[in-house]
Amino acid sequence: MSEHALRHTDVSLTDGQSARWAGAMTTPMMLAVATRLAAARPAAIEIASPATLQQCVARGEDPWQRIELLRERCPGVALRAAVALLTEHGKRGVDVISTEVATLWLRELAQRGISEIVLIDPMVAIERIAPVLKEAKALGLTTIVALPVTQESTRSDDDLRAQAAALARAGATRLMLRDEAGLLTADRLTTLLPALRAGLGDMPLDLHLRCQTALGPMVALEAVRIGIDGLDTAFAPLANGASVPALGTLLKSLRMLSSETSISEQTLHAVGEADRLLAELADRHGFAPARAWVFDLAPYVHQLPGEVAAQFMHRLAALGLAHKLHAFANECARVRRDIGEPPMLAPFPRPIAEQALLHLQGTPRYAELRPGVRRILQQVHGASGAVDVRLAQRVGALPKKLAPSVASLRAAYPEASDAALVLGQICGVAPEAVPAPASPETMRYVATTPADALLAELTARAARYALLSVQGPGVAIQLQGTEA
Amino acid sequence: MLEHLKALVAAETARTGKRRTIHLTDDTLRDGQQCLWATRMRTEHMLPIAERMDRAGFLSMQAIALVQFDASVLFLNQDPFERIRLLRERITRTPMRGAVRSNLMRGFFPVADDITDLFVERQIANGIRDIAVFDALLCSDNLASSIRTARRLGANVTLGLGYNIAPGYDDALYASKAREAVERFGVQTVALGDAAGILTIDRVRTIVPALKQAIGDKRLEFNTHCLTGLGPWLAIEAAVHGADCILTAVDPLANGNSLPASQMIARNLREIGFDVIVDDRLLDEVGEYLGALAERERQPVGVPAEYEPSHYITQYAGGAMSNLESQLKLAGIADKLPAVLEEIGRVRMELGSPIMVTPYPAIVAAQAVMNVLNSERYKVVPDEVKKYVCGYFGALPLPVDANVKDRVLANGSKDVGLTPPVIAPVLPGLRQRYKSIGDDELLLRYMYGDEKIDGLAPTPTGDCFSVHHPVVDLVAGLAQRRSKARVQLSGNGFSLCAN
Repeated sequence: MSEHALRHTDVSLTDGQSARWAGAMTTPMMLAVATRLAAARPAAIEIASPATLQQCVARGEDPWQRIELLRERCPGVALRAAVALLTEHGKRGVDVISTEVATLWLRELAQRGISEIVLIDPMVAIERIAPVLKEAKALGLTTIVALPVTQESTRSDDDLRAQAAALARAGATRLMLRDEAGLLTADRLTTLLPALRAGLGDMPLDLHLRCQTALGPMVALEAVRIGIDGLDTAFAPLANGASVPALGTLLKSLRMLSSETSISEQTLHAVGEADRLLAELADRHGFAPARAWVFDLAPYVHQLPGEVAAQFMHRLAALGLAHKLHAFANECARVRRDIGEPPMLAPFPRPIAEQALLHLQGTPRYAELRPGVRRILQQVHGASGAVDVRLAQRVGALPKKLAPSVASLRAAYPEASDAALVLGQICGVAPEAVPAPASPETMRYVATTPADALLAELTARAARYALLSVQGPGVAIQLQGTEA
Repeated sequence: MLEHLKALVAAETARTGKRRTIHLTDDTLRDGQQCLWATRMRTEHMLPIAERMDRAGFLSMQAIALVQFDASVLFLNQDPFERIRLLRERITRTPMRGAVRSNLMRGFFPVADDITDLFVERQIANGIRDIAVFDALLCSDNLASSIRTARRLGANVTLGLGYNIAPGYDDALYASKAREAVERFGVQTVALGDAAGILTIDRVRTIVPALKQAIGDKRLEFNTHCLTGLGPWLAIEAAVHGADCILTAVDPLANGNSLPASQMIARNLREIGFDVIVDDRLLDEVGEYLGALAERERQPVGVPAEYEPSHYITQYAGGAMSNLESQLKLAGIADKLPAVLEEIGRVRMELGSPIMVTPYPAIVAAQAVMNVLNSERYKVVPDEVKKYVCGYFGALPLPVDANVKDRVLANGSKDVGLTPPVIAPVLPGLRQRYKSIGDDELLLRYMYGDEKIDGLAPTPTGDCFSVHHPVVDLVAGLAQRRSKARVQLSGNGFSLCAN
């Protein structure tokens, strides 16, 4: 086992809660646990990603306020944000975030105390990545650039080494091998890591991997053994399944496997306390309990990343189609092949899964095309591989629409702040629809049981009904309107 | 990974000219419930699904072993032979498997062959068609009589080889034991058993081909558990590398401490190019029943485990560990636990690394405690340790460390002879004592005493057990009536009208 200290970054508040709790964690909940997370002394905590920005906007929360308040709660711990150059909302002209808007995004993050960014362009387009890295460096940010993992048959170790070398030349501080579908095995790692090292020189190499196949914790240990520099982890209730490996189990395993490691009882205790707090939160709000997924070969076929995998496994089960998992996986692979084998990172996997599910449910193949699939065929994010000619002809080409400049956005929305303009671009909403900061009182987390929440919501609606009656095991609520 | 597995299977199919069929042996009713429900599944719980499981296409079904005999009599007040008969009435196509634990019956020490032989005979007489034999020392002499009896009565014999992580337990050792079982006894099936789920992928890729090569066209079964979360992968790799049959449990009594899920294994094996002939629809129906049963009985279902390498290190089963802790506490030396655990590892290796299943955890731990408490190791030697070294439990798979052996023989009790005594037969005395009862009852009274057997209650038959709320069954029953007559029912807290 490698003897250097592991640099682990906590992603519980971004990928963890997106994959395990469907993004249900509110800002007050995050603020309530943040101190405990920081006490476990991660190298950094990731507190924002494109998915959490969307979640905030959909819930009426100001994501910038969340970042500011989390910064206050976590003194002395580096905070990280994920920044993606491709969007998923489908608004024309904003499928690719321009360097100018990306720079504004980075500036808003840096102003609020973010010191590290993970820059994700699934297509690894150096011409898009390099200028953004340059701007990030100018802002003093540590830049971690993502290299998506693909199956060896799609892209060999040599291909990935060449991509890694190109990203290193583009000016990143660190490189992150990003395996959102959980495809890596210990066997692959033993050939891939040395290959990447050869392409990177002295640049540190981090790993972000998910646990859809159940092998994540084992692959993570192997990665540490052969010398990965940094690893993304989450606290137990927000780890495993479609999320990343659990920090507590990883640290205990590392301590057991290596007598030289410096993992203290104090650290393990702090991790255990954070695990317990999050488990209580889950229990109180009915969020999914900590649970690993069972090993299956299907994820190697559908290759759906984190939260998309979680969402579609849930949908298959809800539709009574869980027994058709392999048929679904094969259909995902077929759709992906037909539309040019795009990389399986947002924005590509969700439309592929939607299209495959349509087919699985009996819609004749491509009788109907999901909007996201149309956009992929129209190559609005750039060209990937060869697409099915008939499908390409059917959707036709789309005249290229230039991304709006920051100046034009400011002119169009003179009342909006830059923070609102950026958010509008990332989330595909008008700047005036961006939520305003909330009062400090509403940011305070109040522990309520599901029954309390039900009662509060029923009370809020009571005026609309003459009689509201709820019966359940151990619960009987009756609200009767009175004449004014 | 998937592409590699598919390529291996495709290459085999091209070489042999046909797709290989991988069979499943069901272990829901024996090991699945043992791992997840502490063996508390009652006979009447099994009956409503027995016929569907029989039709599901399993190669065989593990019905019962010593642990099920124990739980059935001691905790459920049910006759285990009756369970075999009732299952046999419903399971008519699929051979049911019973088991013997070496020559130990349910005790700590070897017993005479006559009682073990009768145990085998009565299982077969009640409906078992396949006898699994297992000895923790891999000592085939301990199994010879059981195997002969089973063969004489026309039953299939499955030899279980327990997997062990220890120096000397290499592929060659396992291959030689498997070959010996086939050549000496003509067993039809060899099963590699990984009770603790500690096999690794790398080891599966070497040990499975080695075993298959050793036994030729005899059937190779693979049995693992999912404590590390890797069980399903191990099972798939085992099939790819030559296993003919996988032991599985029907989901949701699979995963966690239990076996890989039948449904998942079947679908994945088909996906990489094998034929698997189980009926998925029936398995899902059985799974639905088991899920409802678990809820009704407030028993857990299998939850996939998170990978943790500690399982590979301890190999000291959970039950044995809690026993040891409580014994040290009773003796007022609870603080010695870490030293005792470390010493257990040393003693185990010096004694030839026996597989840590009953009775060996207790024997090794007894010596380890003595070594920790005394200034000199092996100064005090428990009788069981001397008996073990002198071969009372059978020939040892690996030799005891020569220096340790000298000390054990020198310091052990002089009352324990260097040569194991001949074990006296049991049956003459039993038959003298119980003159007018059948052999099933005779065996049960021998194993559990008169009081427990007097208290056994017959299992309600007619498959009247239901996992649903009684009112649901009532409504479903009324719905099936042809009569259009008005039905009115009332009871405490409910009334029901149907026209």
